Amino acid sequence: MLIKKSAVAAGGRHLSRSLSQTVGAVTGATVDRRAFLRGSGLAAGGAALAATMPFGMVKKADAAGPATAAAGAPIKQLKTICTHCSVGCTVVAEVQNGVWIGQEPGFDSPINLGAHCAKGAAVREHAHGERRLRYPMKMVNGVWTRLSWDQAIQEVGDKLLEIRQKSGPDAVFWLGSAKHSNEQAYLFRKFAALWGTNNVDHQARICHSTTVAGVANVWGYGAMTNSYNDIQKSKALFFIGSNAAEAHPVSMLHILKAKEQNNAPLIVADPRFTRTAAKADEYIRFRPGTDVGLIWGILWHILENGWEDKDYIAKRVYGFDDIRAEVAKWTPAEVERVTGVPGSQLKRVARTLASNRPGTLVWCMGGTQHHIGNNNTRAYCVLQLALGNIGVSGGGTNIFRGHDNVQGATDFGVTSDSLPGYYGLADGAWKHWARVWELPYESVLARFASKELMEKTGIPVSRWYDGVLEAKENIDQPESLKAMVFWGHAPNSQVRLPEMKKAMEKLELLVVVDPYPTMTAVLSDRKDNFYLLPAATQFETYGSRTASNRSVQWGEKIIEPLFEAKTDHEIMYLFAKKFGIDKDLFKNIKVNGNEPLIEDITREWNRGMWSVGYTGQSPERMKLHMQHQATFDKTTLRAVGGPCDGEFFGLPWPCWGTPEMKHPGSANLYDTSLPVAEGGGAFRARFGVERNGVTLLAEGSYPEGSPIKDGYPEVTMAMLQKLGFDKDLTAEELAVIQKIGGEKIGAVSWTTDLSGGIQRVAVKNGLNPPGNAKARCVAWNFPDPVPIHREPLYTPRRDLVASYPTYKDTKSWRLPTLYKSIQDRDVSKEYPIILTSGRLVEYEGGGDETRSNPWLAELQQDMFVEMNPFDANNAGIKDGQMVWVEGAEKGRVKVKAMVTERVGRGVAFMPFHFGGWYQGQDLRSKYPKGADPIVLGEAANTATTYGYDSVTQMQETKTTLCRIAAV
Amino acid sequence: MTDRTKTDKPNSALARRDLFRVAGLGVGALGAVAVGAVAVTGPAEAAPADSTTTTGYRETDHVRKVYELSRF
Amino acid sequence: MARMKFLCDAERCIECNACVTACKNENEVPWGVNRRRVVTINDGKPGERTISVACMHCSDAPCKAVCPVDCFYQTDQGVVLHNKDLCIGCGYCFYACPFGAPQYPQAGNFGTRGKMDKCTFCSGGPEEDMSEAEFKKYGRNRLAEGKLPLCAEMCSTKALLAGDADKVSDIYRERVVARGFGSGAWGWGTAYQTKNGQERDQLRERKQGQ
Repeated sequence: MLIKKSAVAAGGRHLSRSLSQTVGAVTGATVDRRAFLRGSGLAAGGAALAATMPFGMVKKADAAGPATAAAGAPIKQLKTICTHCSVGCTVVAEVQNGVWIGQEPGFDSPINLGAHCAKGAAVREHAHGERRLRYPMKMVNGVWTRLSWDQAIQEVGDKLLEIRQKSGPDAVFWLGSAKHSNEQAYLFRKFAALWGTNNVDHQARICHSTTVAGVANVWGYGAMTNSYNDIQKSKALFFIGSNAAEAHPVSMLHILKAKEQNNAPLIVADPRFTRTAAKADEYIRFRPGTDVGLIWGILWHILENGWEDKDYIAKRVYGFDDIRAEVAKWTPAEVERVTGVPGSQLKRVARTLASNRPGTLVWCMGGTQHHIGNNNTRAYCVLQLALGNIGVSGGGTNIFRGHDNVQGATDFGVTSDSLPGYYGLADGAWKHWARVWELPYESVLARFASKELMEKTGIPVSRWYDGVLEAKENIDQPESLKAMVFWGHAPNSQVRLPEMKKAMEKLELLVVVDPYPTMTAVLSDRKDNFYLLPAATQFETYGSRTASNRSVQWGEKIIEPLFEAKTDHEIMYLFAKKFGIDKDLFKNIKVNGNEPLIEDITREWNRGMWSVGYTGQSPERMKLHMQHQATFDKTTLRAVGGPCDGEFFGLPWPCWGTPEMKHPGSANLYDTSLPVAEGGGAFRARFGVERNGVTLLAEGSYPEGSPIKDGYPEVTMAMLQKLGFDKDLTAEELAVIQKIGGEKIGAVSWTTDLSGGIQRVAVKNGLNPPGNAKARCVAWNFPDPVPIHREPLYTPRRDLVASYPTYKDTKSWRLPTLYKSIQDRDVSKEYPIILTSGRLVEYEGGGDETRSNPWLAELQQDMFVEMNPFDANNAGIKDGQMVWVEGAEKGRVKVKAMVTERVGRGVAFMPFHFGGWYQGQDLRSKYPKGADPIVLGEAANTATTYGYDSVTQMQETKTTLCRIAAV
Repeated sequence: MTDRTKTDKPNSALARRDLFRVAGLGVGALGAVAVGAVAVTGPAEAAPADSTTTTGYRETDHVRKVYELSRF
Repeated sequence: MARMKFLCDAERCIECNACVTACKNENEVPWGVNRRRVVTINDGKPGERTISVACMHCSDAPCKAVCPVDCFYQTDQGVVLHNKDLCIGCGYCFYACPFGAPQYPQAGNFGTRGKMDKCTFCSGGPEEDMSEAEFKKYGRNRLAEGKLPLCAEMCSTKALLAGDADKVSDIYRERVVARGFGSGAWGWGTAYQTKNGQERDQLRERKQGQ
C-alpha cells in the first residue's frame, strides 16, 4: 500500500537521521504500536470505506442537504461537553443551518483550556453519523428489518408487559448508562422504580463501583476528592492502575504542570510500562492483583521511619492501630515475594511521598477491577490518610472516572443497590423519594412484586447473565431474568462473553437502545424477539453532566437527533405511556409533545438530592457558569469577579441547600481550611458516633468558623434544637419539617428535610451538614474490615494461595457467587500467562462509537495482544503474527501479537475496545446494513474469566490467566 | 494563503493540469464538495470580511489567547 | 514580519493524537492521508518519547528545491505551500523532506500517487482565501481567519506550539527555565537551521544510535 511504498523511499537522503528514523517507524522499521498495525489494515479499512462512505459528508437524515448550508447563513457557536472520558472538556461547535460545520477549541473552559485528545478533537464526526443505527429495527427470522417507532414501542411494550404479567417485574433488567445526562439518569432510575424493580444498573458497576463503595466507607462520599485542576498544586504525584496519558489525556495538562512547576516527582505503579509511565520519574512494575501488598509495603517504610502525620491521624483518623498491625506483616522481603518489587525501590518511593506533601494519589481500573477491588481502594485511602493528604489542596485521592457522566449516573442511582443520592433501598429511602415525587408511597410499593423485593438489592449488571442462566431456585427472586434492555451499554466491556452469548440466546426478549447497534446486535445467534432502537447522543440533546471532579456542566444541543434517533428521555416517555406510568413518572415534569422538559427534571432532582448536595445546582446557575467560563480561575476553579464571583466552576457537589442559598460548591472535599459556607467540609459522620467505646468523631479538627471545636454527628432537627439554631428556621421551612417528621420531628435530618432549612441553618452557623467525623481505616461492615491481600482467583502463584486465600463461596446480590471453588482449581500449568486489559487513547468503552469514527478508526485498525519478547520467543511467536489468546475458561480470541517490553515477563495485555469478532469469526455481516463499525476485532473479554468483588460485584478483568499460541 | 503580492507565487493553473485535479484528492475531494459552505469567516476578532485584503497571520485576540494559554 | 513555526515539546507530548484528528476534522482530510502524525521512539521502553510531526515549513525547504514543476512557494511569513494544479505527483518532495511530510492520496498501478497533499499551516493555498475552491483542495484557512493551526490550538497538553517564531520560542524558553533543563524541541534545528538546534539534533541522533 501507499504508506508502505513511500516508506521504502524514506530511507534516502536525510538531514536528520533521528527524525527520519521515527518517521520510518511508521512503516515498521522500528516497532511501535501504530506502525505495526498499519499495512494490511489500511487496505481493508480503506477499501471498505471507499465503498460505503463519502468523506466529509456532513449529512442529516432528512433535512438540509449540503446545498442548503449556503455560504452567508449565520454561524452559531454552541457549547457542550465532550462525550468521552470524565475530564469534562468543553466542546465548541460551529453550526450553520442545523449542520455542525466546525469545531473550535473551548479556550474559556477552566478544565481543558481549549485542549482535547484524539477523541475530543474528532467529535464533530458524530454529526456525519455514517455508521449510526438509523431507524428502529427488529430481527425477523435472523434478518434485520426496519419498523416504525410506533410499531417498535407497541411490540416491545407488549412483550415486556407480558413478561411482567407472567414472571413479575423483576424478570426484566433495565441496563442504563453512564452516557445519560444527569436528568436522563435520574429519570431512568425513577422509571425502573415505577416499573417495579431494582434490576437496574449501569457501567459504574464494572468500572469504579469498588471505588465508590470503598471510598465512601472510609470517609463518606465515593468520588474524586479534589479536582484535575487542583493537581497543579501537588508536590508529589502517585499513580497506581491509572494510565492517564491514554485514558484521561487532558488531565495530563494539569499533571505535567505540577511536574514542571513544582518539580513534583511523578511515580507510576503499573504492571505495564504505560505512556503515563513514560513520563514518570519513578516506575514501579508489580504483579497484577497485588496492590494491597504494594501499598502496605510503602506504608511499612513510612511507619518504620515515623514519617506518618501523627497529629492528623490523632485528630481525623479512626482505627489506624489496626492498620499498623496489618502493615507490620508486610516486610520488604514479603512485599518482594508477593508483588515482585524490591524493598529498596519502595523505600525510595516512601521517602519521596513523605518528603513531598501534599501529594495526590490517582487510581483507575487497574485498582478497581479485582475481586478484592474494595480492599485496594481502601488501602490507597489509608496511605493518603497516613500522609495527612486528604482534605487539603494538592492532596486527595483523585479517582479518575471513565465516562463523561459516570459520576452523575452513579450519583443519580442508576444502580441496583440504591435510589438516587445513595439513599439506599430501605423503607425510609423509598418514603423520601415518594415525597419528592409527590406520589403516595403505597402506589410505588404496589408496582413491586413485594415489599421485600422493593427493599432488596437487585442483580448487578456484572452478573445479569448469571441471572438468566442460573437455575431459578438458586436466585433470590421469583423468576430468572427473561428480558434485557441494553440502554447505552457495550456488552464487550464485560467478562465471560461466551456465557453472555448463551444468556442472550436464552432470553425471551433482547432490546438495544443506542446510537449504534453495539456488539449486542451481532454476538448472539438470536433469530427473533430482538430489537434495536436508535437513541440520540448528548450532542443531540441538552442537560447537565457531572465530570469526575464533581463539577456539573450544562451542555447545549448542537444538532437535532440524526436520522430517526430519539433522545433517551423521549424514549422513556413513550415506554412510560405504553406501560401506563407516564402520569406518575411525569407528575411534576412538563412534557412537550413527546419530550419531557429537561429543566423540570433538573428542578425535581434539586428537590430531592440533599444527601449529596445536588440541590443548589439549578439549570439557571449551571447555564450561567457555562456562559461565564472565562471568569473562573484555572487552578482554584473559583470565579474571580463576574456574576459567579466566589463560586467554584460547575458548582461541584456538595453544593448545599437550595439554589437561592447560593452555596459556591465544594472544590475539594473534607477541606477544613474553609468555612462550610465557602466550600469547606469534614469527613462525614456516616457510621455512628462511637464503636466499642472509641469515638468515631473528629477530635480537635473542624472546618474553619465552626461553632463546635470538635467532632459532631450528622445534623438533625434535634441537633439544631439542642444548639438553639432551630430559631433560625423560617416558618415555611419549619412547616415542611413538621410535615415530614410528624411526631418525631427531631429525627428529620439534613438528608430528608425537603425545605432545605436544616442545611441552610447548619451552613449559616458553620456546621457541616453530614457532620464532622474521623475517616475509618476499618470498615467493620465489609468482608475484610482492614484491607488485606488475597490472591486473584486465577493466580499463577499457587505457592501464595495458602497464605493469601480468597473468600468462601457465598450468595450475594440475589445470586450464588463463587470464590474458593474457582481458586482451588489449579490451571496455572495450562494457562501460565497473566492477562490484563486497558484503554487506548483513540477509543472508548466498548468502542462502537469511536470505531465508527474514521478519524479515530484509521489510527488503530487491529486488535492486538502485547507480550514480552521472553514469552514470545519461548512460544515461537513473531511480532505482528496472528495468535490465539485462550483464557482460563477456554474463551479464545484471534489477535495480532505485539512483542514489546511494555509488559513484563509472564504478562499479556489486550485493549478492551474492540468487538465484532467472536472466537476467530468476523461478524461484520450480522450488523444492520451500513451500521457496522469501520474497525472490528476480537473482544478482549471473550477470553476473560469469572471473579467478582466481595462488596460490589465488580468484575475481575485486570488479572486472570491465559495461554498464547501461534495460529 | 497569505498576501499574494509578496510571495513567490507559482504560475497559475494550466488547463491541462485541471485534468488531474479531479483525480487529485479522490474521494476526499468529492466529499469535501458536499460540505459546501465551509468557507467560513470564523468568529475570531478582526477576521476581515473582505478576503482580498487578508494578510494571513496577525495577532488577533484569538491568537493572543492561544499564546496566553500555551504559557499555562 | 512574523515567521510561522511549529514546535513540539517532547517533554509534554503524550501521543494522544489530538493533533492528528484535529487536522482531519478541520481540513476534512481523507482516510490514508496524514498531514500530521505522531511518532514514537523507544516504544514501550524507558526513554519512550513521542513527537508530533507534520510539514515544518522549513526555512530553505528541500521539497521546494527538488520540485520539477516548481509548484511550491513560501509565503513571506515562512509557510511553505504548493499548487495542486501544478503538482504531478512525482514524489520527489517526499524523498527530499526530512520529516516525511508529503502525502499522496492514491496507490495505483505503475506508481501513480495522485497530487501531493501536506500540512498548510492551516492557511490554504493559492486559491482565494477562505474560498470554497481553496477549502476543497487545501482545507481550512485559519490564518486568514485570524487563528492558528487547529492541531496546536487543540493539543491536549500544549505540547505542540504554532505561530510567530518569536512567541513560540519565548513560550518554550519559559518552560525550559521552569524545568531547569531543555531537550524537547524536536526537529527545530533541522527545520530552521538554528545553531544550537542543529547540534542538539545531531547529539540526539548519536544517542539514538547507541
